[in-house]
Amino acid sequence: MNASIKQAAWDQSCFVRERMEAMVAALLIVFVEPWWFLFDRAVEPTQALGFLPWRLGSAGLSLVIALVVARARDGRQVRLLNFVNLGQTSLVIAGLTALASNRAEYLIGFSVVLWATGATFTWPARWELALCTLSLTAILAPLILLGSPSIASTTSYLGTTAIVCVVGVAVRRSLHRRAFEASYDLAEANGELEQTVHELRDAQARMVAAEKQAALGRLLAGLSHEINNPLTIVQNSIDPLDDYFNTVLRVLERAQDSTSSPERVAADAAAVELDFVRTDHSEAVDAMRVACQRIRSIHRDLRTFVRGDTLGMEVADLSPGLMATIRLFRRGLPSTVQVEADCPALPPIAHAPGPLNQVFANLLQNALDAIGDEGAIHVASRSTGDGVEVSVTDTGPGVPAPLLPQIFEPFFSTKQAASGTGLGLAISQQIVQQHGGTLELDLTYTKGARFVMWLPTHGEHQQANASIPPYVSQPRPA
Amino acid sequence: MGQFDDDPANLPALPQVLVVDDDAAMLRLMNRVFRKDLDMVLVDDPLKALDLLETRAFDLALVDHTMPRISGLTLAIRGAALQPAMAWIMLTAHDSLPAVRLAIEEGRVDALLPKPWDRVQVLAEIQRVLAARAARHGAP
Repeated sequence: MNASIKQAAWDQSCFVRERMEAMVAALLIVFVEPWWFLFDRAVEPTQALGFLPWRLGSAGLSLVIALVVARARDGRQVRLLNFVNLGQTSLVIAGLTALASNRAEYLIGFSVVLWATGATFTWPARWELALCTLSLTAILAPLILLGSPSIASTTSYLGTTAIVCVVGVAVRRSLHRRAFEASYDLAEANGELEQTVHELRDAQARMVAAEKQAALGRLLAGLSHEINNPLTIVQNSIDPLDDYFNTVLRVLERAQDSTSSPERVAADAAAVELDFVRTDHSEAVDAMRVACQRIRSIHRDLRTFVRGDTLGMEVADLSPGLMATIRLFRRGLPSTVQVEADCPALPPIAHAPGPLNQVFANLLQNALDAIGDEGAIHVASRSTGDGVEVSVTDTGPGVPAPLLPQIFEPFFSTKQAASGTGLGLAISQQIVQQHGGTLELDLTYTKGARFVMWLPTHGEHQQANASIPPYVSQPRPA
Repeated sequence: MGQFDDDPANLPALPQVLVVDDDAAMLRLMNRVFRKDLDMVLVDDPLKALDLLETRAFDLALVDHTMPRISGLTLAIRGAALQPAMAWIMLTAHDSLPAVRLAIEEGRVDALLPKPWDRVQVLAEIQRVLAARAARHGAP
C-alpha cells in the first residue's frame, strides 16, 4: 500500500511541476513569436510581413493553450496540451522555413525549440521523443518535396539536437525522481520516528503509572493489615456491650415492676456479674475509642499522601506530606525497626505534592527493604539558604561500590522480582529533577545508605503555574 | 449443637484454648467475646506460650500470625512438637500467605481465619476443627 501511495505522491508532484512548465513555455511562445518578426525582417525582408500572421496566429494559439493548461486536472492532459502547443509551434516554424530562402538561419532558430524543451521540461522522455519526431518530420517533408540538397545536413544537425534534448529530458526527469524519492523516504522515516517517540513516551507514562500503583499497592497492603485489628475490636465489642446494658436494664425494669419480689430482683442483680461488667465495659469502650482513633489517623495520613494527585503545583511547606508519608510507613512495623523523624517546619516552596510524596515513599520503602527485620531509619529535613533538603538514612548494608553508577537507572533493582519494578529511584530522580532539584546518594556516609534530596526555593522550575509533564498527574483511579 | 448447648446436664467441659496475640486489646476482646464458650488462657508473648505448652494440656490454640520475633506459624510448628494432639488455628489479615497455606496442606495448621473475624465464624471453625481432629484420632 505504501508503494501506491508513494506513486500517487510522485504523480501529483509531476503534474504540478509539468503544468507550471507548460504554462511558462506557452507564455514564452506568446511573447517571443512577435519578436521573431524582427528576425524575419533581418533575414527574409521580403517575406517578413507574410510571415507575421503565422507568427501571431501561433502566439494566439499558445495563449489559448496556456489558459487551458491552467485549468488542467491531471498530468496526461497537461502533456497532451504541451505536445499540441509545441507541435503547432514546430509546424509553423517548419512551414516558414520551407518558404524561406535562407534556410540555415531558420533551421538554427528552429532547433531552439528543441533545445528549449530539453532544457525546460522534466516530462517523460518518450513524449520528448514524439515531439522531436514530429518536428523532424515537419521540417524534412517540405524539404524533400522541394528537392532541397541540404537534407542530409539538416537531418544530422536537427537529429543530433533532438537526441541531446531527449537525453536531457530523460536525465532531468530521473534526477527529479531521485530527489523526490529521497525526500519522500526521509519524510516517511521521520513520520515513523515521531510515531515511535510518541509510543515510547506513552510506554514511559504507563510504566511510571504502574510503578506508582505498585508502590501504593504495597503501602495499602500494609495499611489494610493495620486497620484489621481496630476494626475487629470495634465490630466484636458491640454485642457484648449491648448484652451488658440489656442485663442491667432488665434488673432496673424488674426493680421498677411493683409485682416483682425483692428476692427476684436481688437474684437478677447477682446474675449481672457487676464487677466484671464494670471493668470490662470501660475497657471495651476505651478499646473502641483507641481503635477508632487509629483508623481515623490512618485515613487522614492516607488522604494527605494521595491528595497531592489532584493538585498540580502548589507553593507550600512540604513537611505535612513528608510526615504523613512517614507515619503511614511507620505503622505495623515490628518493634525491632525504628523510624525517627527530625522534620521541622520548612519554608514554602513550589512543588507538586503528589509526585514528591511518591519520592518520599520510594526512599522510605528502599530504606525499609535495606534494613529488613532489624535496624533504624532516620529522616531529617532542613532549610538550606537557597532551598530545602530532606535526607533518608538507614542502617542497612549500604550500596556496594560496583553498583553505585547504576542505582538511578531504570529497571535496576537488587530486590526480588516480585517486590519492585526497579523504576522507583529512576522515577524519583526524574521527579526531583523536574522540580529543579537533585537526588543523590551521599558517598561519604559509610554506616549504611544515606539519600539526600534537595529542592530549590527559586529557580526556573519554581513557578506556581508550571506544569509537570502529563505522566505525574494521572487521573485518580475511580 | 454439641458443646455449645445451654443445658447444664449436657454441658461437657469447655474446650481448653490457648490464645496468643501480641496486642493486649485483642486478648481482652477475645476474653470478652468467648468467655462463655471457651476456657481460655491468654498470652501476649509466644515464648511464654511455648513454656506453657510444656506444663499444661490444651485442646486448641488461636494464634495471631503477625507477631514480633516468632510468627504464629513458627509457634504452631514448635508447639505441635510439644503437644501433637492439639489443634492450631491461625488468625491473619493476609489471607493468602503461601507459607500458611502450605502449612495447612501439610497438616501442621488446621485452619486459617481471616481478620476481621466475628464470633459465629470463629466458633463454627473451632467446632469443625475439633470434630475433624477427633475423627482422625478416633479412627481405628
